[in-house]
Amino acid sequence: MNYVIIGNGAAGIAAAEKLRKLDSKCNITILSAESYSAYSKCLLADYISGQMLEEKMYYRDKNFYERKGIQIYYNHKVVNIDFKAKIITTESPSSFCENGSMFGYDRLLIASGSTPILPKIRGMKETNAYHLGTFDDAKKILADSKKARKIIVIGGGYVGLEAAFNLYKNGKEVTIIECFSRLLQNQLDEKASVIIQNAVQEEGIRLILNAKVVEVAKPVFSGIAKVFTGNSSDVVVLDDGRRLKADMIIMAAGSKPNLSFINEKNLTIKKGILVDKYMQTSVRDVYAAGDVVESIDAVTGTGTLSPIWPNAVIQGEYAAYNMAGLQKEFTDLISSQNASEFREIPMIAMGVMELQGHKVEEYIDYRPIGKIYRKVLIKDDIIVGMVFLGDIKNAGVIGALMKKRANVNKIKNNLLNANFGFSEVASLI
Amino acid sequence: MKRIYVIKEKCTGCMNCVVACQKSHANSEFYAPIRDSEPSRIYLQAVDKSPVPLVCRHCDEPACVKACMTGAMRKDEETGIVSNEFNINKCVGCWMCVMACPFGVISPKQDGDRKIAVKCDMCMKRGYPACIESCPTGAIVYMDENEFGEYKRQISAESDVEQQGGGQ
Repeated sequence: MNYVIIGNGAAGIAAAEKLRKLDSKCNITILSAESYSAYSKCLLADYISGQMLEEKMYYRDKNFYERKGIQIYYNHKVVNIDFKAKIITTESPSSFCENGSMFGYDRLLIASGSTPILPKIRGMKETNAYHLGTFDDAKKILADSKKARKIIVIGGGYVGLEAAFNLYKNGKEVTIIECFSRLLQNQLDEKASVIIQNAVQEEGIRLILNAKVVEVAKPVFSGIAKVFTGNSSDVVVLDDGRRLKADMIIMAAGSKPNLSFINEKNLTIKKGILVDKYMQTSVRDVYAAGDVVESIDAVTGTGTLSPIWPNAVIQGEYAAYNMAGLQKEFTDLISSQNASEFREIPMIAMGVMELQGHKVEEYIDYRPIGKIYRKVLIKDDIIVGMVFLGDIKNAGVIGALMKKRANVNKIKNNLLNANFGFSEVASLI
Repeated sequence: MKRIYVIKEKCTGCMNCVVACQKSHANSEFYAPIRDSEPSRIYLQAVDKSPVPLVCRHCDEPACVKACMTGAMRKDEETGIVSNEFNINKCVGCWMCVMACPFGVISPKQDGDRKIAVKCDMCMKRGYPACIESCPTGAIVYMDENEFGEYKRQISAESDVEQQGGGQ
């Protein structure tokens, strides 16, 4: 059996490892558009702090591909897949392959991940705006930020916030511009947002909320400045007329599935590639996993993207089982799950923070002095959301109850107790 | 593989396991200086007013390993031990494993100027789990599956005898 995996990220690697475990003889080929062995995308923001060794970025050892008998083709960006002929065309020619840059497959996994959204802003094309999608992107930011003093991060989501913190760590003057009224709007409730916002500002990072960037312009005399300093800064113009100087602009306005190489209508795509319970797409023998997939959220029951590491790994493994012919039905996961730490405040958030049009119960443990804020959201005796800030103990237990859709009627008053733990809810999980 | 098994009926809640775990991982002779800095990797919880020890099961399909985005948390193929101590330098304290573990047996720890996740490592550096050695009642044991089955049969036989004895 000849398996080809598009993508060398969390889902692709997890699938390749599982396939090898299930079948020691099959051919496994990974096509990567990049030139690095398996590295962690979640660490890209840490890398731009300049305080992280490159070797720490790699989450598998150097001999990984060889040891597992996986053929890896770097710099092979896929440009087309012929689903009928089962042939993949890649951009760069390869001398290892008979058909030049063509790869045939028996079963294919699309795990091409996601790519940053770059909103259209006037003047943005002419400037050298940065984004954080690949290792090369991070390397470019780290190298070019050496010359920069003022850095503007557009977007106050996870990537924006982590990028801002790490650039600040590296001695930069950082400003975050967010169009909503608060940070991490999609992951946190208002109170948790404010705690993180205060932490950001106490650190010394400037925060501008409720502001839209309408234009990126060059300051007057920028040409002359460039002649003298070899460096010219940009001006970020906000909708209220403010003009902010920036030596470097980083776009962190979210991500979208990387599907640019799909030219066929046979493959059903909504928010992402639609898959069945066996991770198979609408095309036979073609599977998909990770950031490219639209999957059912265990909490809301609706189809969503879930561009997070743990889910990508689990989907990759399920895809591998089914590609190898062992039917294994996928159980829905929680689409939104985030763990992080900002300025010594650990945080874990899962599920939804509001359910419009539904009555929800809130259970809250708020201790301002310890910067502890924990909240569990319950609808019809089922946990639908949680945020743990400052104290993240047992977050996984709450998550397990949420994923199982367990009825917590009898224990909901205990969930935030100091002595709550798995033992108490063992029968429900 | 050998695992740590719990017989909750035998637990008296004496906390010896917790203290032993903390002391052994902090490599400290004394408890007071490390009580708050070294988290225990075995937990004592109360269910219906009875103590229940809780410790990592070193799962066959560990959610923490799947969630680990740095490659620090691994399951050793030979020993079956799930731990980030194999490559602790890779751990960045992102708390993905804390979020993923349905048992809630992974804790954050301040380690010098950085934070790392800590969990039961079966005392692999020490050679034998400290919690087991310290348990005075046999409520936590280190056995393989067959041994444990035998041990449980023995316990239930003993308690049967006790019950009959009490009835006479």
